Amino acid sequence: MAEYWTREELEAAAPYGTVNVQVDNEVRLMTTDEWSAWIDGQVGMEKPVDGEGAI
Amino acid sequence: MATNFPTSLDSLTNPAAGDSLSSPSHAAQHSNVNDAVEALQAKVGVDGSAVTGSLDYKVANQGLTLVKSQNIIGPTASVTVTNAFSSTFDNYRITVNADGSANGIGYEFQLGSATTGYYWTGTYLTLSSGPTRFVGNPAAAFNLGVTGAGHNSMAVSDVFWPYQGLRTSYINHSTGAAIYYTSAGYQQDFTSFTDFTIYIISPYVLNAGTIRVYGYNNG
Repeated sequence: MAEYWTREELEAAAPYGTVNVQVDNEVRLMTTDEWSAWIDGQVGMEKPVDGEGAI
Repeated sequence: MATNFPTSLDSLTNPAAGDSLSSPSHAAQHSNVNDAVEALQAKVGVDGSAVTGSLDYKVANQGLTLVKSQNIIGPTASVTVTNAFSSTFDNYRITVNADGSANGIGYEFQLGSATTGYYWTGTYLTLSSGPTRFVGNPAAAFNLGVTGAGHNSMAVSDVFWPYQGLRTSYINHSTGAAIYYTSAGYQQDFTSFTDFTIYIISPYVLNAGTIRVYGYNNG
């Protein structure tokens, strides 16, 4: 049975201040707005089944 | 005898040990060799030759040229590759070897700052199911398939006319965690792009890998 992401679950899995973005060789933390949009993108989406199709 | 090269191979006469300088003609011997060497030079071409029939031009203007190689410095949610596209090439090949933080996680790529207007269709196959149709109609990015943990995710995308200010199209083939993805489509804007960004859906990250951009030579 499919499970779906809640915002709380996503935030707990990747808290603000722990996620980087990279531009060429420069790495920085996501801004609040970037992180919030990134999290929002998966709220309500089906959780992937880890290893599906793996050999 | 003027040289026939490169139309055909020359058949040069070698003098024997007891021959006089007049038969075969010593001057003609030098002349023939000089002509042949000049014909060889013309066929090879000078550095940066603009002569389309020269080997130098053909080597420089066929196949793929590496534009950029970018290591993924993980953990990161996205990697932007700047100055990937330019007027030098019309079409590009992007290869991605990525180590995701989990198997089977979707990852995508955007052109420049365009976050809408990606129309594409594709299919995927797993070991136990498919083909399954999936679409971006429209989506926020082109599809790259899914990651595999432990560097078993590879994607190859051909990107057509990203810099020309026309609609940019793409064709992608990829595999991650033994799932095969293929997709193709276009981005609707008539925009010239120089950069692209690969990103993975939350809450996952890319841990390592390499992104390479090649230009298709027009020769």
